[in-house]
Amino acid sequence: MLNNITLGQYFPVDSPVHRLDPRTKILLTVALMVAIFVCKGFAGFGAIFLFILLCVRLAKLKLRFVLRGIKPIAVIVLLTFVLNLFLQSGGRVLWHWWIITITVDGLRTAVFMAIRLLMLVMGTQLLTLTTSPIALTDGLESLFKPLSKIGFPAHELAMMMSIALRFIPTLIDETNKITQAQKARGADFESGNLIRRAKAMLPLLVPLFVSAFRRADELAMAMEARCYRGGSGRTKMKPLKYKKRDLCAVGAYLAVLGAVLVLNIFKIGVL
Amino acid sequence: MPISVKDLTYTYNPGTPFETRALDGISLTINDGEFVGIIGHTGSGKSTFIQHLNALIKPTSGQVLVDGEDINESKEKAALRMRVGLVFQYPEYQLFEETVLKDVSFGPKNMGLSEEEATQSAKWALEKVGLGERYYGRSPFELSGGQKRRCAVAGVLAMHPEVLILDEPAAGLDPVGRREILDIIRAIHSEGTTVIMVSHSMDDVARLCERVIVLEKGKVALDGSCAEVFGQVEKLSAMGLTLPQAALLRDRLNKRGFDLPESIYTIEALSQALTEKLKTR
Repeated sequence: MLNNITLGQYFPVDSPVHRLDPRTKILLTVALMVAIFVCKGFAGFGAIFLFILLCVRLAKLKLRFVLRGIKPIAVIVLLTFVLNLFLQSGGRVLWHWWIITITVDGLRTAVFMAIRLLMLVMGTQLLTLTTSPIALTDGLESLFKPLSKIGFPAHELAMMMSIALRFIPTLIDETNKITQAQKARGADFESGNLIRRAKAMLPLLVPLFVSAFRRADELAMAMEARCYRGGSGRTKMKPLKYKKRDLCAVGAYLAVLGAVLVLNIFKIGVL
Repeated sequence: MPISVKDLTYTYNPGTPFETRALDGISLTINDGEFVGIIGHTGSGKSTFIQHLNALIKPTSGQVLVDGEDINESKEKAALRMRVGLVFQYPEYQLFEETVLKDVSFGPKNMGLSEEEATQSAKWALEKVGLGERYYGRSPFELSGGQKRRCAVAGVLAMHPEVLILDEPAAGLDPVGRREILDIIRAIHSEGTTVIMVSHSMDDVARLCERVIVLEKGKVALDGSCAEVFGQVEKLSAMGLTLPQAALLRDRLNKRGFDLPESIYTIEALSQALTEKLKTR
């Protein structure tokens, strides 16, 4: 059941997208989010979706793999859709019953919001699927470095983040193992009402926390044994450098942003 | 309660780039009262295989029959898991209760026993693993490594399984803890429980098991008595497996001109055969 989470799981292949500088990818991911929020119509979403498809293709990812990451947020998307559908009013009434009214505007907004959410997840997934946690940390650290002058703990935060990312698959594995072990002792995680089910999680959560703390302790010890002392004066084996392909990626993004803006201005496919 | 496996195949992550076939057409039967050792290289499918035996994993294809009944068809999976007890690798990571006694009674309580009966069962199991009354009220997290392991084994024993499956029961323990846990397993088997033990230690397998199953890339490579399996030196070393120390010594001596029988795999048998050989020389 927990195998479906690809968030934070790196997909290791060699591709032009994988080889991009992590800083470029992080900034472009943020920029892509901006584009998704700026976008006012379905035609613009089409352009963004094409861009995402292109990235998926170039990154040698299977679309199915990217789509799978949507599953965990399916509920949120559905909720957004339903709320917008019923609460937004205006335009022609499509359906009316008791206090529920569905209007054309409501339907449009609902679809629009759902697509926006899906785009956001797919776009951000691209980053974590094509960038190894180590590269991601390097990128973040380098981006936040200027802020360390005013006391912002760039290195520490980046390190914490990479450790967290690194341990997601480990903890999922661990959860699976403990679940199996407790099932072998007759534990039942599936039936009963909500309170019973929450109680049934205890045999899973206690060992999981214990092992997470143990792992944290061991990791800290191992880091100290290797003389870890934070970021100051630390050099890199592979310093980050912008290359030509980063320029190409930024160019491609600007083209999409341009398309979105033009479509917005000329109100093509805009709500 | 014999366990029969027919053409068992299991594929991890089907349809993704991580697709791997962990088990590939395994067929075998484990009879009542046997002590079976399962050996094989890391990734040979041992752990996946044993999880099939109590329906924790559903096979991609093939059947697992317990008492002649397909366990994946049955609705009573929880009841089955109590009859076929599975102790995972590093079982101490499953401990969660406040006290040792409460933790061990978790299984029996899930069986639907009353509080009192469950406690009774737990006390019986704790005695089996040598954790006496003074441990009942302690937190399982305060115990030593070997004690935690024994406490976790008791957690499964308390359900009175007819078949006990253990995945690397002695892994990561010090020599004393190792011997204690293996002695407990031997005692449980001698009382009539069928035992299946996955192990990396050929010596443990040679000392305890009657039958050895060697898995290689998800297939049964060898299956027979200890003497039969540990006689196949070339086959085992081709799979990257070693022999028990005594069998290893027997093999080296044979290469130097001793003519010791291939069926020797214990230190006792080896020393006896060797003494006789040397006497007649």
